[in-house]
Amino acid sequence: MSKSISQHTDADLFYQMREEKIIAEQAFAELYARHSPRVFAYCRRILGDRDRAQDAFQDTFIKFFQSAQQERIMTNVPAFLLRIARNLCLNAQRTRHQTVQFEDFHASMNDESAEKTELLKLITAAMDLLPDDYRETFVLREYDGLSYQEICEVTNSTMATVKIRLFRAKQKIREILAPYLADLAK
Amino acid sequence: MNNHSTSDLLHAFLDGELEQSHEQPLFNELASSGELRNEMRELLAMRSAVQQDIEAFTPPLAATSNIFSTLGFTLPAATAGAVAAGEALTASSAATTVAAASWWSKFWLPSATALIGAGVTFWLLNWGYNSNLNAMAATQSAEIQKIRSEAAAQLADQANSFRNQLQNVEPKVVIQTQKVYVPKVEYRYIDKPSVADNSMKQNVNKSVLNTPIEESASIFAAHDRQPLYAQFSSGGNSIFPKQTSTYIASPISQDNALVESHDALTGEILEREFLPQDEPYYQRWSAKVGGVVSNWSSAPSTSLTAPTGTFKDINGQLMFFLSKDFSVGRKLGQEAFPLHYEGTISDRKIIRDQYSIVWWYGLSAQYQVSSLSFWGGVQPYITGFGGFSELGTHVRGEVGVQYPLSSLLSISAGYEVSGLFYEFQNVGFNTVKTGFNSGIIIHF
Repeated sequence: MSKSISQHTDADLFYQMREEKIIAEQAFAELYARHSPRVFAYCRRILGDRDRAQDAFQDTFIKFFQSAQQERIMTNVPAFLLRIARNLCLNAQRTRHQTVQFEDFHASMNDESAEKTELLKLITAAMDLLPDDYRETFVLREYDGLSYQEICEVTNSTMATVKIRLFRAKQKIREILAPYLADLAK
Repeated sequence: MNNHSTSDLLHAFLDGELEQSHEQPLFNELASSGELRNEMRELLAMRSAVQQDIEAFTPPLAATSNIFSTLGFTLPAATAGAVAAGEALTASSAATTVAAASWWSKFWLPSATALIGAGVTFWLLNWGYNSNLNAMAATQSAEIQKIRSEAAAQLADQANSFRNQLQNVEPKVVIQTQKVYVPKVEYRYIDKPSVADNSMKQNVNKSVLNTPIEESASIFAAHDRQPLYAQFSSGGNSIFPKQTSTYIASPISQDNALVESHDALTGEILEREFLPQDEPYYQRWSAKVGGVVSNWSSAPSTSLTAPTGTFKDINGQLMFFLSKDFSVGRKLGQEAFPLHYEGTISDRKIIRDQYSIVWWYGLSAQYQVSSLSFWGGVQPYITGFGGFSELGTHVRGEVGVQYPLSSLLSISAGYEVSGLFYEFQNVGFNTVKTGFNSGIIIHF
């Protein structure tokens, strides 16, 4: 008896995307269902602006499917997806810095439509104050659940660099939110 | 061990990256350092807050639609439903194409069901259950017609003969007939001996008599050795000869049995028409328009939470009667369901936006318990429904009563339970609602 689509591994599904349309469509839909939340979370929290995050998110999955058509050994689909998302977000950030940096800064700070709790709102604001590489490491760890080794692969960084960035990112957020976290931790 | 290194260890431990050999030193430090314990609490609070960032983990439905349309794929069914209702898609031709495709993906199953249902109904109407009933009805009608014809012919001969006799005696007499509705009365009477015959004992007997419905109070039995008569009056005039006996009989039950036509002058029966015990079967339909005011009463089967509140819906039902009590048909309606779910399943953040209103459609079966009719015609009924909605499988159940205002119009009220089952991102959802319904039914 053949396995249902949900029982296939990420790698199996990745290779199935090279096959005929019906199979490829099912495989893509399953991978999309599994990984779209973490990819969008990365785009959303790295870029801040929801519309730009949506654009990067869409392009990520389209490029992901196109990449699957090429002969490629796949070992870690989420890391591969996040690498694509990272490159697209970096491009988007460059464009933003060149054009409407000031307006978007306020847009990202004031985009509070989704924040459900006050702490979450504060963390999101604090993340925007972090350097880009710190923020990215924090998002990959806390939002996407990547291990240190996977973060190294996605960001092309050493283990020591990842550890330092992550440690400092958390400490920085703790410093910014110190009064609030102290109350919350009691 | 300095503070920086113990913090490093703590961070690594919370991230699941600490080597086992370093765990015990960390635990020792945690036991002795309040500052480190505070730091751990703060880091955990931070992580907990991030896990509540549901908005960040929820791709916009429009983005999902755009991705699938760009790749030439059909939007997954659950997502397609949410896109169509919830988010305004950009008016690109690609999106329009996808919307059309997703529309068909949602409706092909209900449409196929409708075609099958129509076919089954057509078969029932022409060759199935209905044809047998119609054959029975035709046979029964022919039998009745035959009795009527024979009785009419026989009575016509008698009436003509009688008229001829009367007209021979008095040509100016005008023959009048009076149709009397005659119930069959089962009654008890006292068989009392006459004064002249003291030897006879008094007995209580039971008998059956066809007597006019106007006779409601006293029914007089004749002498035990004479034929039984009922004394009644119509318009103040006695029709049957008054009997000499005064024995009182008490009615036990009555059942409408026949209609007699009497000659007003002589009291002779001119025509007798038997009413059939069971009504012949004729094709019968009903159409119902109703609504439900319901309370969203349960959460999904998962750990997700959903809003609560009161919702309304409206629906229509077309039913065909397979018998006097049992009917089948189709039902269409729209109903409000929760706008979104939120929560975490297996470390996956789930947020599910969906229709505030969904359309549903399917097959319905109803049994109205005529034998339990009470309060002047109020009849209980029970209805079951199975079908599909824009999101997934939909079932409904209903119990209530209906009251006929006329032969064409009834009203109904009852209690209804509805359930909706669907899947989104490999997570099964269900909603169950309960509420009071009411409706207006047209019979034709």
